[in-house]
Amino acid sequence: MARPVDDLETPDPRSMLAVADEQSRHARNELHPRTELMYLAWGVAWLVGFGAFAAAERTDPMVSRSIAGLTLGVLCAAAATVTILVVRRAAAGVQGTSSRLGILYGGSWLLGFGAMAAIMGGLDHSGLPERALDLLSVVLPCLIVGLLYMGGGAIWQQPTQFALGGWLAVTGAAVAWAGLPEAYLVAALAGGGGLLVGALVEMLQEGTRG
Amino acid sequence: MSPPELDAVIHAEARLRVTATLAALGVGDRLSFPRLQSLLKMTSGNLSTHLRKLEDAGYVVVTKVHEDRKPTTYLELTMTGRSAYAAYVDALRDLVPGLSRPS
Repeated sequence: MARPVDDLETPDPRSMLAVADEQSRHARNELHPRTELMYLAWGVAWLVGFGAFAAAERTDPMVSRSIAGLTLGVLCAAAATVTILVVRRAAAGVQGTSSRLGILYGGSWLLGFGAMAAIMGGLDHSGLPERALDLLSVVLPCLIVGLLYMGGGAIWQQPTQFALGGWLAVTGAAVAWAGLPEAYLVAALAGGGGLLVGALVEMLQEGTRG
Repeated sequence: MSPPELDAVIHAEARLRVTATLAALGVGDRLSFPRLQSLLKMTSGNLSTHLRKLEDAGYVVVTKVHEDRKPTTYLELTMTGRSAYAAYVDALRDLVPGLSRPS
């Protein structure tokens, strides 16, 4: 008997169901950005970066403010690189609605942080005391990231991202009320810690999905 | 009740995998041929053959574009293809004993 060609075979429903489940899980995993890696990178940047500022603000400073600034800057640049790589990997070869959404969403991050820099410059120009500017430079990122994560969570239906955004927005308020120098410690622990918890939650969910 | 009919276009392992992959995209998204091929680990000749059958059935729409003067083919599941895939998976669940459809 000749070996039946692909189309004439009548595959068993159970094995076909396994094929469909396996392939759609594989495709979803590959096509969706690894958000846990992004939260991990940003969590480390906030925890260590703002932690360095907290260490610089002690009565017996452990590091200088310029070292703290450099630490935060380098870690944020690394986290931004991780974010870009993760998104590019998932989005490679995808065109249409989601790539248009992604461009607009990416643009809102650039515009948000560009506006923040301009706002800080304007407030400096209008004579706001330096300590107030220092506090705002911690509060504003919490609010901007918080709002954009909530928006992203709503667009892509990611409850973890939405919850993380809400947490970071509330962290911004806590940072403002804590005032300097405690503000840095609040941002490091609540902000950075929150991002790391977000990464852990995503990893555990990934594990249960298989 | 008679067993549900299985859609012959999708009821072949290679085309089921192609359809499942394209169904993982959001509505309104299309995937480039090379990316689809890497997600499936199929040879391009084999993939082309199965895509043609899916296209003939009206399940897949093929778009050819020029990106940086290089021709690229994009594949997208049509609404018909999307619902055919969903119906096919539902029919499989009905056929497998002890499995009920998730509500």
